[in-house]
Amino acid sequence: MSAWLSALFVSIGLPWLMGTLVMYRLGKSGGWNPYLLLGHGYVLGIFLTTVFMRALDWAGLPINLAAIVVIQVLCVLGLLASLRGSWPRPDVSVAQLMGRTGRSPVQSPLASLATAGFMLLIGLRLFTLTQDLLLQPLFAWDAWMNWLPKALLYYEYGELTNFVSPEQWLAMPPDAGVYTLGNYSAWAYPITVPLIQYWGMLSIDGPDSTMMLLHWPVLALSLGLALFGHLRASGHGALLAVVACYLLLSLPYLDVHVTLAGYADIWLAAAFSLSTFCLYSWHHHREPAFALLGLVYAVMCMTLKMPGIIMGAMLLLCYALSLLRLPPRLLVCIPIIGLLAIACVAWVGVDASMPVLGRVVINLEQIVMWPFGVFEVAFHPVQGAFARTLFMSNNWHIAWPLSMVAVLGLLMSKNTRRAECAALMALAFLMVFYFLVFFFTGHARTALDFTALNRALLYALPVMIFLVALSFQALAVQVPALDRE
Amino acid sequence: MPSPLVQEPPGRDAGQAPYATGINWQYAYALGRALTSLIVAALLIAALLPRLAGVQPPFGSASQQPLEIAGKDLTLWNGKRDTTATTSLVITELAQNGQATATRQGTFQAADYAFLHYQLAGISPRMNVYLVWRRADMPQRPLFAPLAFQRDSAMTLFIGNHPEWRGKIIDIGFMVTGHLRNDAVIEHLTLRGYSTLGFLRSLWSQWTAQSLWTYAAVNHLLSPTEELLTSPTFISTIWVAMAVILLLLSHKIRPVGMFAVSLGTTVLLPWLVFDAVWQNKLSIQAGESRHLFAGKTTHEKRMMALDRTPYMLASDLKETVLPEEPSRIFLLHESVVHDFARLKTQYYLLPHNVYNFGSIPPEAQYYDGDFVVNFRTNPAVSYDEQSQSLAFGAGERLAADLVHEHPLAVSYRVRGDQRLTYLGSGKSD
Repeated sequence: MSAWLSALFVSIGLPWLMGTLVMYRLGKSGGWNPYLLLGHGYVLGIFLTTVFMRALDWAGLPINLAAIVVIQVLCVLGLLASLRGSWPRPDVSVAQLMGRTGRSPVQSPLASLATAGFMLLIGLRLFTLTQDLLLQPLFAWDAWMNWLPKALLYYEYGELTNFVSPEQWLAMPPDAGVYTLGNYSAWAYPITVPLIQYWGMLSIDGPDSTMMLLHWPVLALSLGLALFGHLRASGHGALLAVVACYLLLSLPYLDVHVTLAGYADIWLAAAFSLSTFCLYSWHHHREPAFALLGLVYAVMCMTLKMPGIIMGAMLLLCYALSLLRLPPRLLVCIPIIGLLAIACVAWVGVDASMPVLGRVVINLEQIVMWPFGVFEVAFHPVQGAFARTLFMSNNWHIAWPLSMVAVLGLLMSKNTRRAECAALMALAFLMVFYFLVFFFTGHARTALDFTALNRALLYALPVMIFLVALSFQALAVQVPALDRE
Repeated sequence: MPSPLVQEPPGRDAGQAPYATGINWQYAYALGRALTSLIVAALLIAALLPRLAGVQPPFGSASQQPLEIAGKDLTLWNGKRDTTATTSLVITELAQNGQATATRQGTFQAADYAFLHYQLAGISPRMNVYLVWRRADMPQRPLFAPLAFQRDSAMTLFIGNHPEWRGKIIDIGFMVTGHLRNDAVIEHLTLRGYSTLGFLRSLWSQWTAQSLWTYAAVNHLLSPTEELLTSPTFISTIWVAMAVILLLLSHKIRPVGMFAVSLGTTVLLPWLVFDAVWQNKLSIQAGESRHLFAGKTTHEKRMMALDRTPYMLASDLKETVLPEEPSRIFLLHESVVHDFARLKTQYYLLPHNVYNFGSIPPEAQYYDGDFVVNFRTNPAVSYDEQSQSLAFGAGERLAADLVHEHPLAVSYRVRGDQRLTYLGSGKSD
């Protein structure tokens, strides 16, 4: 039992501690509430761990448990040393430490009871999901088709094994030490998720146990904590913040990706959402550390999945555009303007060589772009599949209709500021991306058979729930105010 | 007094404790308003739904005398029953084919009844239960309808809209299939005429029916009903929307405080109801995983899991044929899309170096000691024992020794270095 607990501490606790200390350092040495520190801390810590693994491989050193733990411990010690003297003063009250400032509400006993009730529901959900995850042998299809094979081979060889295309594999001798996968294009997928799985194998219970996938429920928990932290930091009540967490963590489709763990999608959803939360908080609090953090998550997106490369680029663009002195609502329109611009470019037709990307072709017949390959362009009527999943399936409860109302509410509210508009812009970019990919490329097939549609929609959900909470506050304040006018 | 859901106006200090501990009537009033809106909206939906869903009952009305058959009155045609049970049918053992069928003979008109109410107990999630009946116009052909079940709850099936539920019924009962874990108990079977309540109960039974993970679950969680208008997500959306409209109307007529409490409750309560259904499904799934896998080693778990066949193939190959050092293996399968067996076999063969595309060996250089695993379902490759080689395509050969046989696949070791060149690619995926 103690070995099990120490393994859990090394696998989850150590990266979490490291990330939390980085956050503490970033947040003006404790200026951020603990939910922000913990929520971001875990994701940041685990991402940094994968960066260390890449660095070890790049330096030609073996990637083993001892090497990674030494680096993590050195980081922790370094951060502790740099934070000496900046810990909370003894006169800081617990209320202040927990993120309750004079601006945030004191709860009535009933509200406190409701808050505790929702926390219990969240706890029950995560317990149920984790229990099933640990009991079942590996189940999720893409986990064993695309992601875990890489992790298993990293574990076997103690280095980042090379993966090549099936054609390249056939052309190489047996001693080349290269592998290919059963899914034709999976060899080229980014490797952060296999690295997280590899870290789980190294630090917990080897490659055969589903314990290595415990990082999936912990990710869900930290995403909830971060959502709670951002809402609390921007002055929302604890009850509203915990309800938002409950809405997020009770989403059936998100739950499925926690318990049938091993897919990359929930990580991409987390990285995209955390970056968007930071974009909001950057403008809300005018604190550059949030921008820095958000940019790290944008980079993280690019290392998680192929669509993450585009999503990361979109986030970088959002950060850049939100700096411009444009009217806030114009920010939300930029993705639509971009869509029209792409349509014009396709209509005119472009065939050019560009640095890094190589040959780029965009016209009404096809899009060619590295590293995504060739997409034949044609309109595919997949709106039925969208309607089915958003309003009929069991995937999302009523999150989508609720979110749509929330987004409309925010767009129409006169109190909507740059912070909300920046978050809406990130969401609008994502929607434009979905529109192009599912309506105009061969990926329409994956919408019609639902193999990729819901996974794509998952990326937007945490942001949507965040916007629901923001708009609820706006609406709940505005309706009575309208009556008084 | 400020709402607990929204930000309090600046100025209040965190140290203050302004709330009285007695009953807060403003809260109670706000909650009551939300609950009233939800109840009125639910009643409106309940009244309108059958009509909107296009249910046009050609069957008997609620006033029709119910036809009730107690479990004890069912005749068990195969399997074994507990003869000491006084009111219900207790099936203690299924027949050798994994089935038990229990029916009651009698005669009635299908059109007189729209709903089947039933109560089962002891049915594990991996079992299937069917309503089975025979009609007078074709007595030799039994007809089936799958029955939803959820732990030991009473359930309702809208049998009236089944295309085969017509004419004169002469025999009706249940068929249970699968693996009996406990005694299966059939309490009763009751047929009733059409009523709105029956329709709503049948919907609820569909929504709450237990089911286990499928491989598709990670891509999409299907609605339990085929129709948009009867899907729980759509109905809960309409429910919330109508309740919020009612709430806004009542607020317009008579504004009161705590609007945020009313609004929040109106949105959250339906969410909580449907989330409770989802939590129940998750708990059933976790219970099933506990039953199957708790206390077992990884190997034992895999032997219990759906992928045990590819796991056994790969494990046996690793133990008996493949060397310690990773070898090159070509998996040959007839599939042109992702196939579970071939992909899972590749996964379990790791860290051996697998090429997993096509139904015939691809054009490439083969080396002595490479392996070919040909799935038995693949007709494109055969083994010529005379020349001891794999035969495929237009007379192509690959010299190889047969080294392993398994119900899923046959494996060969390539003999000597060989270059395979032919027109047409073996790549199919």
